[in-house]
Amino acid sequence: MKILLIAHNTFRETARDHILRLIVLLSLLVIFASQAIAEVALGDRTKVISDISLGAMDFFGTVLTLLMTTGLLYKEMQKRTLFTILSHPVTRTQYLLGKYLGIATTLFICFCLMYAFLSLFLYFYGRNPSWMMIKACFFLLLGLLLLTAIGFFFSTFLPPISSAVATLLIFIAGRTSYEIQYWAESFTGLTRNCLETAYYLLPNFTYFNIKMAAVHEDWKAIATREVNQDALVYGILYFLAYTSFILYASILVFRKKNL
Amino acid sequence: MLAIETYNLTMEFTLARGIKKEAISGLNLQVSPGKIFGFLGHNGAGKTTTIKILLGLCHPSKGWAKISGICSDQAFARKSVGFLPEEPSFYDYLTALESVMASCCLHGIAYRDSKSLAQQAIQNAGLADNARSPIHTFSKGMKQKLALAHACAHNPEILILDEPMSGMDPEGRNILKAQMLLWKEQGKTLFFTSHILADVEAMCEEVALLSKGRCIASGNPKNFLMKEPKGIHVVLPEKQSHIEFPFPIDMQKKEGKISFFLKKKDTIEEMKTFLQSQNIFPEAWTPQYETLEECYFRLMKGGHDENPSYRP
Repeated sequence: MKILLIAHNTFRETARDHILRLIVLLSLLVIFASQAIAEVALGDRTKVISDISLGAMDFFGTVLTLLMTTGLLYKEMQKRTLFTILSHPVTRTQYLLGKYLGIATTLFICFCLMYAFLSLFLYFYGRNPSWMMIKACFFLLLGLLLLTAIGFFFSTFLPPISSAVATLLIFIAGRTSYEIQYWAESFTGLTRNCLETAYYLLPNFTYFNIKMAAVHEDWKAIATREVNQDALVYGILYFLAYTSFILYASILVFRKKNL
Repeated sequence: MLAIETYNLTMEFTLARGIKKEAISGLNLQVSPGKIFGFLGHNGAGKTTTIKILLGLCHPSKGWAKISGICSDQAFARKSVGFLPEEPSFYDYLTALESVMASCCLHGIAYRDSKSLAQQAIQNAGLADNARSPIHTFSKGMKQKLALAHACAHNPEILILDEPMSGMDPEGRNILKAQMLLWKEQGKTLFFTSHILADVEAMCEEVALLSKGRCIASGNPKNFLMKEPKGIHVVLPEKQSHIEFPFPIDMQKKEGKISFFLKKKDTIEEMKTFLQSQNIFPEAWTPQYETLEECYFRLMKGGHDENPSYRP
């Protein structure tokens, strides 16, 4: 109950934030402007629009996540709003989980809005909404929710800029997980071990990136590692396990912190 | 059961280069239910740190703090607590009503009941016209009033007030003073810090004086205020304005009357004898006792209370 209440308040607070509204508006503008590029591009215009639009959702979603999470606890401590909440009979675990749920809800609503806009746009170009597109958006959202948990973790002990840089670096490294694995094979000894450890420890954000398959509706690709049914289920399980672990670590750090 | 209790409460911070500093050192406090307890000290004495520990925002390095017998680390201990911070801060885009309703719900009050409680608290705090305005449009004083609504909307048994009067206009201060006396009548426990010692002296039944993290005196203020008067305030009638005193006096003439203050015991006796010999009858011969403010400064200068009713 208290977690839901904190989540509700967090959602109301973020939903009324002008900067966040502006970012969502910008993403919608990019989706709208994608038709201009599609006009001059070779090939299927709907694919170009889908590609640019999913890219915009990914980029602006990441910006939104970084803005909402990385400075969260620090700002709340500076503004003392944290004291206002924690002076109630609320545990720090309830507070963190409530905040996480609130931000997750905001991201979900933003993504719904972007997806609805994109679908409507594609519909005018004669392409009906597809399950693959919904799955791509859903997995992008899962990736951002995992990024939110990582941002939360860093914000429990780092100031906003350091936290944002650390989260962004983890995100970039996580997006290049397969490349790290590939590089590891070309080394031996300690370097190889380090790269392999990094591959296994870093969150693998490539599980959540199935934009290409969604854009091209390439059923051959769907049958491959990236987007077959097992991979999607594995992606969801991976998200649940990794996010739970990171949130638990955040709670442990936050519980011991003197505010 | 005591409303608030601390035992050997110590809070140590690590500064740069690993230097450790104690913000509070071995603090023992006992606040009985239904009392108004004043917690005094200079800036940086450790008042806010103590309050943070009581509210579970900081973890003590040593000792413990309890609220209604429950360790302050437990969130449940704050169920019966209302907190008014020195610098209240809220989520800017929420309205006052939404914010106070959320506060009630966090105290376990059902959502359907929270609206009426929040409206009542906002009205009592003098913010009825601004209930549906976003908090970012509020002035500092209005935020302080909103914090008051936050603190009392759920009808807590214990109120912790950190510099409650700061930032308030005279109207707000009057509202708060009236509210504090009302709480007192309702049998609630008030634990508050203030720099306005006259307010503390007028309202508190017990106080604790904190200096550099240590409690230098605590208990009923009467116990550590000086028993002897600090001097005599004398007013002589108009016709005595030409009189020549046996020793120099820093006197004031107002509406023809002479008034002066005698500090030392021997000068008082000498003056008494002199006036009797001159057949002069003072209009006023009033002993002046030490105020809490004077006592505060005396103790802060290094004079520990000789007979504290409770000393760590």
